[in-house]
Order: sequence, then structure tokens, then C-alpha cells
Amino acid sequence: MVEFSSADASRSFRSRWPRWLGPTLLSALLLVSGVPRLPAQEPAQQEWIVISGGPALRFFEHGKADSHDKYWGNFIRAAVARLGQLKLQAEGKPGIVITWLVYRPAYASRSREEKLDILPEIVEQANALKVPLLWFDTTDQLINYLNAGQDRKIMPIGALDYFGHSNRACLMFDYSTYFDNMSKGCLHEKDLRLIERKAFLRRAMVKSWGCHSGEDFSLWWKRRFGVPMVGAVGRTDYATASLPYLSKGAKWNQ
Amino acid sequence: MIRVCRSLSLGGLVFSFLSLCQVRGEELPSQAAPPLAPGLPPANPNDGATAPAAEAVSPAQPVLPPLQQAPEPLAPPPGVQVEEFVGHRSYDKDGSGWGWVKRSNDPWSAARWVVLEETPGGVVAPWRLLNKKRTADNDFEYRLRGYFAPFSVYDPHTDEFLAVFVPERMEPIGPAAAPPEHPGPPFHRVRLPDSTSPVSVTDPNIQAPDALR
Repeated sequence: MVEFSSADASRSFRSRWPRWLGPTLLSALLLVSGVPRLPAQEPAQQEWIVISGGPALRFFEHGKADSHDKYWGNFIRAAVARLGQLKLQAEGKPGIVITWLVYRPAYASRSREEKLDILPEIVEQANALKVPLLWFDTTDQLINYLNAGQDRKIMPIGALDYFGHSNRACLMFDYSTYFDNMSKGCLHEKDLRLIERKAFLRRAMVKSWGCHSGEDFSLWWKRRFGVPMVGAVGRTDYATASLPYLSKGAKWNQ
Repeated sequence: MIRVCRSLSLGGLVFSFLSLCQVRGEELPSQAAPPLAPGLPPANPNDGATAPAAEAVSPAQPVLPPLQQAPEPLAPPPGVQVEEFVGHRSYDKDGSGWGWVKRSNDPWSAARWVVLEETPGGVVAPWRLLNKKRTADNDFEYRLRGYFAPFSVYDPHTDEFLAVFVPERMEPIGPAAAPPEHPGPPFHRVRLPDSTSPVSVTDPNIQAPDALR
């Protein structure tokens, strides 16, 4: 901000610049720097969402040097760990609803392959946590839920965590489930425009726990929603029974 | 005199036979190999002119994968029909596409680069039925029956969405030169490095926690 020490200086400034220039410059400055944000008033209600992608089929992954998803529950137990954390954080805050979204087809396929009842096990986990569980079968269903699963004017999304396969440009809810090395149900960074900007709280906590999201997807996310997404530059590892950790040389980015 | 002549001619015959065997033995180390399939160009067209003996040399006949037929007829989505196609397998070291597929009467210029929808226990990529190497049936042609799926799938290694072919029947025709219009896999705009593969699990023996058992 420029300050003028005397009335003379002010007068000389005015004399040199036309009157309309001041407001015009101010408007241009505002446009360039972005509209200043008023301190966001914390809404009375918000939804915290955890998304679990699904595992690969062993039929496709068996025998590969870099074989994925030997255990079907990587993205379930990591989500359960996160849901436990969120529940603790939400204690004493009655306006917070925690929801768990799980990509059902991948678990149904893996159930058939391994002759296990995986879906009831996931339901059991949700019941134990007392968290509402919602299956989704397509990316459209997920986008629809993010946009309108709750009235987002009243209950915006305050937190979003993603557990699943991903690369730098895409969250893959399935990988090697229907197609070897490929994904049928995914959210590409170019499709973020399908999600309403206003679905998210301005101070929402968003994190992808998959690999490489911090390399490009996070940038597209921030550009679209104005809300940062924490993502990994490098790979993440689900080998522990808790939250995934960064592989060697990887780091979080947003 | 006649005896001498007979013995001479007999000896000559034996000698000729033996020398022939010797010569052929040198020229044809693999006599059991069947002749080259007609119509297949030599690997290097110049070789044929400089070494006529090579024409007699025949490589081992390639092993063809078995014919595959889905246990049940396909039920394509409304508006889509099961039709006859021809497919040319083209191994892609950078991506996961299967090869080029065109309708039987179409030119190869109309072929589409596709991903094959495999059904465990049903029709699968033929290389799985050979030596399990993805290159096992590279540049093989197939008569196909099936349809193009009305959706595409994402290849995370090339950051592309690819067309899907759903096969009901795959009948191998045999090795064939790549179509001139499609001498190999398509050009990929992006090739993501191998490290971009999704989540890694370093411990293959990891067990589910008690809560999930």
C-alpha cells in the first residue's frame, strides 16, 4: 500500500493520474490476486468422507514381478484406521457426519475369486465403527454423492480421504479387476470439473493416500476447488495394518 | 565284366547316396521342420536373393493357441450386436492394449486399437494359453466373434482411455505380417514410468488383522 505523507503529495498524485484510474487499478488488482476471502464461518454441519477403492484380481496379478493386492483388504483396513481417527476428532461435534464409501464391484469380484464373503466383512467393520457405509459401483455414483449426497449448502464436505490405487493423473477405484493392468472405474483429473466447486468447505482437509497423487492430481484439485489435496510424490505402502506410509524417497505434497 | 559294371554302379549309387546324405546333413540341420507357410515374406527380403539355400531352410512351425469359445453366448447391451472380426495381436511394451481389431470386410485402416476383455474361466488373452509370455503370440492373427463395448478403460501406464473388445470366440489363424497401416502399437502421447504402478505391497505374507478375519 502506498502512503503519501502530505496533502501536497496527494494533490500532485491526483493531478498526474485521472480519477477513474484508481478504482480501475484496484479492481484489476483484486482480479489478479483473487477475491479476498472473508474468514469462513464454520458451518453447523459438515460431512467427512472416506473412500475405499478396491483390490485387483489375483488372476491378473499372479506371477507378476510387481504383483499387487496379495491381500484383498489393504484399502479397507487403512480406511478403518482413518475412520477411527476421524471419529475421535469428531467427538463432541454433533454436526459432523462421517461416511464411508466403498467401491463394491472389486470386492464382489475378489470374493468370487477367493470364495470368501468379503462384503459382509466390510459391513461388519462399518457397524463396529458405527459409521454409515455406502457402496458405489460407478464413478458417476461417486460424483453424484459428492455433489448431492447431502444438501451441500447445509452440509458441505469438510474432509475427504482416499485409499486405493492411483497414479499421477487418476484415482483408480479398480485396477486389474476387470482388465489386466487397467481401470474401468476411475476419477481422472480431467473429470474433476464434474464435481461441484461448492461441495467442499473452504477449509476442507483432503488427502489421497494412493501413489503419486501429489505429482499432478493435487495440482488439478487445487485449481478446481481452491482446496489443497495432500498427495504423495512417489509411492505409498499399505504393508502395515494401519495407515499407509510413504515409500523410500517419497514425500507428501499439496 | 557285367559283375564289375554292376559292382561299380552299385558302389557309385552307394557313394552318391552317402555323399548326398552328407551334403544334406550339412545344409539342413533341422530336417524335421516343415516348410515355410506360403505367402509369408522372408524376415529380410534381401536374404532370399543372396542365399537361395535359405529357401529350403524352414523354421519350426509356431505353436498356435487353442481355439476359445465362451461357455455362454454373449449378451451385448441394447443396440450392440455380436459380429465377426479379425484381430491382429500387437504386443505393446509401454501399455496394456492387446492389438488391432477390424470388422472382417473392413480394411486395416479401419481397425481399432483395443483392450481385450478377459473372463477368468472363459475366453482369455491367448498368450496365457501358450507359454505365459505376453509376447508369445505377437503378430498372430485371429478370427474373432464378439463386439466393441460401449465404454472405454483407463491405461494408467500411458494415461489413455482405450476401446474394449469383448470376445465370444477367438480362433487363431496364424502368424501374419503386421498391417502396413498399423505396423505396431499406436504412438503414446505419454509414457508414465514404471514406478507409477499403483500401490505396492512389500510383504507378500501380510495377513489380515484379527478384526478382518
